[in-house]
Amino acid sequence: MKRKALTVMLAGLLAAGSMSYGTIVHAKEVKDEEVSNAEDEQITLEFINGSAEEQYVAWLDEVIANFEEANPNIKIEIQKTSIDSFNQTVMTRFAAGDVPDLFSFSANDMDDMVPSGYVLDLSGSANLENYSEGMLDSFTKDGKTYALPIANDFMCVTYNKAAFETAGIGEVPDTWTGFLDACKKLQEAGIVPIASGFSEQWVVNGTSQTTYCAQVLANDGPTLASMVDRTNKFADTEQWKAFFTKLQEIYPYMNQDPFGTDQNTCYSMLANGDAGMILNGTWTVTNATAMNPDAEFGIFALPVSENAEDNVMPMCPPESAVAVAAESPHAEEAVKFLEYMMSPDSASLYAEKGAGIPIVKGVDTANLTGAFKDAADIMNSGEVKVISSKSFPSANEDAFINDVSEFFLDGCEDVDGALEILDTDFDNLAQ
Amino acid sequence: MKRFRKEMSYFVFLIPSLILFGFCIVYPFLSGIQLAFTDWNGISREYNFVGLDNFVKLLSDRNVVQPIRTTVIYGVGVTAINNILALFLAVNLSKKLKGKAFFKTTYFIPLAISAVLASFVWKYIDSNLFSEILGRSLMGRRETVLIGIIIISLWNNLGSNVMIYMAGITGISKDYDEAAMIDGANGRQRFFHVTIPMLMPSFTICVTLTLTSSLREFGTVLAATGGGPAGSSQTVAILIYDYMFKYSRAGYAQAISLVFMVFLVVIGLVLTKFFRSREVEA
Repeated sequence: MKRKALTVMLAGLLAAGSMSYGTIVHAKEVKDEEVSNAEDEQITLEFINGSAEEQYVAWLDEVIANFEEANPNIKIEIQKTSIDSFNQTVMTRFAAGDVPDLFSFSANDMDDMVPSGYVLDLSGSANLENYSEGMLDSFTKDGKTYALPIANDFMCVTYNKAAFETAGIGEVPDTWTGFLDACKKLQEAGIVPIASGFSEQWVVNGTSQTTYCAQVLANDGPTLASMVDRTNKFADTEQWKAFFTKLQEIYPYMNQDPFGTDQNTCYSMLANGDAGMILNGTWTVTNATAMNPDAEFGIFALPVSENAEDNVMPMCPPESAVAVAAESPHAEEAVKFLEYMMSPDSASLYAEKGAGIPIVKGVDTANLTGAFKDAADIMNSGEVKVISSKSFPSANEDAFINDVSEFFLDGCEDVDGALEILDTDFDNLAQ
Repeated sequence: MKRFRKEMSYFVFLIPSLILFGFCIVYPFLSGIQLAFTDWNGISREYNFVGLDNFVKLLSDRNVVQPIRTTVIYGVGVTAINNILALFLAVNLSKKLKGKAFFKTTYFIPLAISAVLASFVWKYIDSNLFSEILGRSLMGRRETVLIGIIIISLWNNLGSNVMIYMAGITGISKDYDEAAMIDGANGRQRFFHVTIPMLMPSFTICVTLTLTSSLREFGTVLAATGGGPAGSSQTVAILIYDYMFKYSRAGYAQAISLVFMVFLVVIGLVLTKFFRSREVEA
């Protein structure tokens, strides 16, 4: 009996112990926090970073090291999250009230996160002066700016200079006929003209964006927002019809079985000169360079017009930036770091590291080479066409990718049918 | 009174587990149910109750038709091929065979590999080997993408069913087989009239678990194709994920999850009842 009573008591203690453990831990945390605040000790800022590109990470590490050296009481702790689970991680953290101090922020999240009061208003920051007009539009709502970008990716043609030489292409094509002619020459030289890794759906979108930024958005076509709210119909828009016609014309110049090929294979093909071009964002350069550091690449705007002067680089305001959580207990320090991260000095370092095309004013671009030099020249010459947002909302984007994929998989034969399917899908989503 | 006290003393030992179970399983499950009746976007701390709106919308949502079709074809395909193949291998591995241990290990090793890694390996094989042999890759075409994913799933998961069937076969007394042999039954007759009925408990486990897990398939498809090309391999689980995390419609995603869960429970119960009714006493 005594033994039984003892076992019952022990089990009860075990249960009570498991419950009280949480309370003890919590009490300890509170106590630690009080001590930390009281002594104004080291402040650790948590930064959820959604970009894992090697050059970006190398740049960020150096920026953090420089900042921490200048501000010994502030430590930046990076939490790396893969791009696939980034939204999931950030959304879950905010919904649970466990907010980071800084986080990578997408323009797509403006409508969800800003009204929820999660993002700090940065309108008072002196850094706003460092951006050209229109470049912060995607992070501005009701006159308030909520995030600061370092760079701008835009959709263009990335080409391998050696492959072009091998195929006897002396000049970068500046008309549509010239572009198709270049594709033909590459094919005749045994080089895949356009490498496309459509087994990854974002690549279908990237190739489409490269084409519709030039063919639709930079060509006085309707904004994507007006397609989403159904003010305009795909079937009634000449520019969208021309978009599908362009895809139809370039499809024969893509690698065999694009839907069975991943984009890393395409980067490798471009880097090794097995392919001549990739139609996608400027990040193609960094990825292809990682595959073959000795290769030289260049970029140009997809020349959709027969008039060379019309074929300027389409560019929309950046869509990714860094924001500070409104509920951060160290918001002041977080803003301080963000301002340093987006300063002209850090942006110069960003360009030197080859991480991308910085858009902060005052950047020294003298040390840039290859495609980055091309990009800097384009930016400096001002021969760009500022366009409205190039991305559909997620649900529309998925429908768009599926419909364009269907068009490719059906051999690019029915342009009118593709336009009709897009209208049907967008009508359904609008309901 | 004495008996009651004795039983209560047993119950006390369950308290730590019950607390954990309640906290980790029951509470999230119940709080998840109520979200199906809201317009929660997955991130806001506020949401509105919308009654049965999400369920009404689900009835007219054209986006769910293709994923349901894909899920059913995939689930039935995987379950049928997996179990037939696993049974075939188990029967052969239960015979006296040279290198038996090697084969058993070979079938079992892929189980230790995650679905994501298995998908990456097979994606590579598909785009480099199958595309050379067949002219086009399996997973790059709408018509064959499910075959490609089923191959990955079989390679990755076959081992567990092989083991269960082998355990079942080992448990069948040799007496039944010998008695049937004396009665003049040939090998085929002994397999269908002795082995299969005696293996019914294994079928109950293998078929039910394979079907319910393949109907919930997420990781393999997401890593192998992301639901493409052109949405042709999108399963219901991926659709739920898209609504939850990409389209910010968590309430609606929860409603789909709830309906899907009920469907899975019904399928599981029906299958279990069907196979249990055919089990024979040894």
